Amino acid sequence: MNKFDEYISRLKGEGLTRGERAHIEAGLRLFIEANPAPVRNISPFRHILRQRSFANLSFILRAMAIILILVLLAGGGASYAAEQSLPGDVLYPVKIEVNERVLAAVALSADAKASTEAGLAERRLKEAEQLAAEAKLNADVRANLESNFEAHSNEVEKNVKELDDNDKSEAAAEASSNFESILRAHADILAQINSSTTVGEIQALLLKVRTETDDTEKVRIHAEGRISANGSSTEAEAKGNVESATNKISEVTNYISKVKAELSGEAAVRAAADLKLASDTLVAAKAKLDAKAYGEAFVLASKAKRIAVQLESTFESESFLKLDLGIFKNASSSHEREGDGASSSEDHSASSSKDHEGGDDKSGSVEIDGRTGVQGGGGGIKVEGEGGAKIGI
Amino acid sequence: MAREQAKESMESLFLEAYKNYADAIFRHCYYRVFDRERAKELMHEAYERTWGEIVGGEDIKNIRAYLYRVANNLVIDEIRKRRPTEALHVLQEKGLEPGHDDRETLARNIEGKKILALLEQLEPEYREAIVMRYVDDLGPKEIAEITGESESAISVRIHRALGHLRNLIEPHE
Repeated sequence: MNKFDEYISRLKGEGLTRGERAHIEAGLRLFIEANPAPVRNISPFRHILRQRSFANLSFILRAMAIILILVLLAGGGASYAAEQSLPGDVLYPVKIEVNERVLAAVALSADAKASTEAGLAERRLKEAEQLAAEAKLNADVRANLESNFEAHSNEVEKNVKELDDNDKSEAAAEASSNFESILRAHADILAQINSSTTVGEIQALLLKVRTETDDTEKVRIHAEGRISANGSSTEAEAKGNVESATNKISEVTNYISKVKAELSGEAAVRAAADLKLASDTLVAAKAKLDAKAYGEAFVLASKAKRIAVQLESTFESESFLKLDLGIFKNASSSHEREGDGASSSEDHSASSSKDHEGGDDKSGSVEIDGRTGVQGGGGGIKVEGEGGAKIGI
Repeated sequence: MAREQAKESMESLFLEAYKNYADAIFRHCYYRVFDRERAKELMHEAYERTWGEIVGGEDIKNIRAYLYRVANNLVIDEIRKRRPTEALHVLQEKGLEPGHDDRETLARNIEGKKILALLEQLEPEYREAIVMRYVDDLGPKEIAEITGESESAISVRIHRALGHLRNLIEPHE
C-alpha cells in the first residue's frame, strides 16, 4: 500500500461517533416534526400542536387523540363547555388553546383550512359583539380578540392564495367569497353596535374588519379575474356553484320565514329585498350556465350566495345577541337603522336590472310563507311562496 | 390516509439517507473546513436544508447528490467567510482532539494530523477535487453535477490535484 492509498483510507475511516450521530439525528427528527412533509403553509397552530402535544406519536395514536378530542367536543366535558365561553371566562383558554387548535389541525387541505380559519375568525367577532352587547368589552380584550382575528384572517388569505396559485381559482374564489360575506355581515353588526352604544372599542375593531373585508375582496376579485380570463371553469364547477347558491338561498329563505313574525317591518323589507336580489343574481348565473359561459356563471352564483350568506349572518347574529338594532320587533326598536351600510352597497348597486322594490310591500307587512322554496334546474330558478310576497322572477 | 402514508415514507426515506450518508457528508465538510465541530454543524444544516426543499415541494431524484450539492455550497460559503489562514490556525491551536468513546478520530494522533495538514496545503479547488473523488468516491460525472461544472473540467482538475498531492506526499515517503 503506497502512502496515497494509505492516507485516503485513513481519511475515509473518519466519521461521527455514535453519540454525535444520535445527537444530530434527534435534532433532525425534531426539525421534521416541526416541518412535516406534504402539508405546506402550516399554520402556527399546527406547528405548536405537533411540537408540543403530538410529537413522537405514531399516526394512529395521533388520529386517536384527535377523535377523542372530537368526542369530547361533541359529547361534553370541559372542552364542550368551553365552546360557549367568552374572553375572561375560566374555560376560554381551553376553547382557544385546545378546541380550536384541534379544529385547525384536523383541516388538511388548503380548502378545508381556509374554511376552518374563516370560522375561527368569525368566532372572535361574535365574541367581541357579545361582550360589547354586555358592555364588557375593554381595551385589552379587544386587542387580544383583534390580533387573534387578524391571525385567522391571514391564514384564510394565505390558504386562498395557495389555492389560487395552484390553479384552483374556483376554490379560491369560493373560499374568499364566503369569508367576505361573513366579514361584511359582521362589519354591518359592528357598525350598528357602534352607533347604538358608547363602547368605544368597537370602532377600532370595525376598522380592522373593514380592512380585512377589503383585502378579502381583492383576493376574491383576483381569483374571479383568473376564472373569467382563463375560461378554466368546467361545466361541473359552474353547475355545482349554482346549485350551492340555490340551496343557500333556499335555506336563508326558510330561515327568514321562520323568524318573520319577530321581524320589524324594516328588517322584513330588507330581507325580502336581499333575497330577491340574490334570486335575480342566481337567475343571471343560470342564464350564463345555459349559455355555457361557465366562468361568469360561477362568479354570479358566488355573488348570489354572498348576498344570502350576508343576510343570514347579520340576522342570526342580531337574533343571537338580542341587540336593539331594529331587526327584531321585541327589541324596543327606537333605534333607526342606517340603511344597509357600506358593506352591502356594492352588491346592490352592481345588481341586475331589477329594482329592489320588486313586489315587496314597503309598509313592513311583508309576508314570507313558511313553505317558501327555491327550485333550480330547467330553464330558470323559481322562488315560490304561497301568499304574501313573491320573491321571484 | 394515502397522504399520511406518503408523508411517513418521505420521512423514513430521509432518515434512511441520514443513516447512509451522514458520515460521508460530514467527512466532505470536515476535509474542507478542518474544524470537526463546524463540519458537524454544516452536515446537520445540509440535511435540514434538504428536508426544507422536500417540504417546499422540490422533487429530489438523487438525494445523495442533492445532499452533497447543498453541503458543498455551505462549505464554499464557509470558506469564503474565513480569512485564508484561519482554518490552519484552528487545527493547530486545538492540538490533538480529545478522545471519543467509540471511534479513533484522525485528529487524535500525530499521523492523522499529518494527513490533514497535507490535505490542507492543497489549493481549495484541488482539495475539493481530491475529497470528492477519492474520499467521497464520487465519479467525475457526479462531481460535475454537484458543482455545476463540466465533466471534462472536473477530470482535468482531479488529475492535477493528484499530481500536487503526490508531490506533497513524496517527501514523507
